[in-house]
Amino acid sequence: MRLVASDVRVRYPRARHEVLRGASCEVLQGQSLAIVGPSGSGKSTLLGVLGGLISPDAGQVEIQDGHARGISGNVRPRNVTAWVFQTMNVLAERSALDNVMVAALVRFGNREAAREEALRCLDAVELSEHTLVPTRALSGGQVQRVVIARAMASGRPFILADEPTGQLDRATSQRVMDVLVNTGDPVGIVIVTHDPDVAERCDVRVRIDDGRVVPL
Amino acid sequence: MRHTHGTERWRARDSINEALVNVYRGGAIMVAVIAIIVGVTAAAVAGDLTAGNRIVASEATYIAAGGDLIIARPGNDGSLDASACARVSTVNGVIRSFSLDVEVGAAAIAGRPEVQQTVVTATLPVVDLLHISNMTATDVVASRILADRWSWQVGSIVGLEPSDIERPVVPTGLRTVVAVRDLELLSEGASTGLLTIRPAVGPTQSCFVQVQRAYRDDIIAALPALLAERADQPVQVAPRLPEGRFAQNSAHDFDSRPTRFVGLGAGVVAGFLWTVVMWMRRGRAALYASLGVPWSGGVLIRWGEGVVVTVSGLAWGAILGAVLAKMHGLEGWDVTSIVAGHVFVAVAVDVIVVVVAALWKPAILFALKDR
Repeated sequence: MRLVASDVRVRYPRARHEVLRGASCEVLQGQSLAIVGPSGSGKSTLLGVLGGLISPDAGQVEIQDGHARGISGNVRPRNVTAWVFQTMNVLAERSALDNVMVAALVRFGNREAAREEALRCLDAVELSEHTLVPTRALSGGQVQRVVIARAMASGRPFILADEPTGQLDRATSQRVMDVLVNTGDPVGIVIVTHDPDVAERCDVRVRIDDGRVVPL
Repeated sequence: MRHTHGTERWRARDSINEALVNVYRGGAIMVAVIAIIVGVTAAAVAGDLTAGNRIVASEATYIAAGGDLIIARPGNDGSLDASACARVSTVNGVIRSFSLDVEVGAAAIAGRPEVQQTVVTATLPVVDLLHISNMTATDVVASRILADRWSWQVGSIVGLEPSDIERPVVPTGLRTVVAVRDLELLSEGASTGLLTIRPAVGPTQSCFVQVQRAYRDDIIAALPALLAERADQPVQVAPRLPEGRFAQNSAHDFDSRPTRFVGLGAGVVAGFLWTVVMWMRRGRAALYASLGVPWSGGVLIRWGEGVVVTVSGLAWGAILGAVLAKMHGLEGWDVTSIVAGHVFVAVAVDVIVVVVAALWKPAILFALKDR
């Protein structure tokens, strides 16, 4: 399965220029893609388009699977992508397990199966000791690993990460990246980052230049 | 790894469970919201109950002064029939009716021959109006002025003699003071009198009718026909208290009191407070949506959280308001229906506001990056 953006154009309301002017990129399941570029270049906008949270003015985003080009029906970018943001998007008063279980419950519709999967994913990000701790009591790096575990538990084939280490120190960033690129699941990962070390950890690196995607 | 693309596995009970756990684990924000709603509702309910209590107390004063009494008198020098007056008590809306005659200076008091004593004779229902029990034909009720003047009290023996031997219009003999009352309630002339009981037969100077407020005008209109012995006999009917002085309609005052809408106000406050909280927590709504919780599931989560928090705040606030009003002198009138009415209106308005606000659809990306 691959997530493909083709010739995407986006202009925000009241903006004078298009932020994306024919941007194209793709990521395969099991592959990691880093998108770099200066602030305001449209990195996060492209990520939003890939995840189906921003509708492009032109161009398209497709999920391509095996022999068929494009999958119709319920399979939309929104339904195959999970998010990891720079800011800590968690239910702060709820435990790590609760946070991860919500995603797993959407996936399985069964609390037992969801709990089992949530515990597996928390173990994968080395948080099995903290499953019942409210996330507000965890460190920034731990919270980001909870978010990665939640993305894994969603079972979605692509993880979109917007500056996932932007608020973390170097050592913690390394650890979070270790977890993110070694989930053990065959997921495709798209990471928007300013950090060259983070980009270096990815299989493919591209840059946004003048609203278009160019290889590094 | 098994990939799931849809959101159809999320069920309504999952949303309800999330809402309840979010409230339970909500901590300071939930406590603060509930506390504000409790405070606002308690103040509103206590304010309305206090306002209602003032009206009830005012009505009690009004009735104690004779505000619900109507007096019928013959329109000429004739008299009314005491038995006809007694029959008026069977009319719908009439609480009681009794004949009353004031004989100024009709008796002398034994041992004080210089005193020309006013005697009031009335039929038996007057004792209920005066809140007297077990009064017999040999008892008298002393007016407060008279009791103070002669140091009479309950149990004192009073000897009555006719002041005019040729006009023995009042009962005489030894009488026991069974009660001391402010007889000005009945008439100005009775304020210094001694009241005795007479049978409900024969002519009478006046017929007193105590009425329920809602029937007052109808009864005033009907009394002449009920009391006239002949079709052409004039009967004058007038309220005991002059109109405009104490005239009041407590039921109308109560129904139109400005604080009657406090339930509506509390519901609006609670609903909009929760709407503000929902806006502050919009990132959570976006988070659930980004995880694949369908819009309807998100609405149910937001609705469940809002209803649990605001309705509990409204209910506890109403109870606290009633308790506070009680502690500050609320008298014994039934406030349950008033409080229940406020709670019903407040909850209905609050739920409507919360439900409408919960329908809001978050802009996921911006809400999540905005935190």
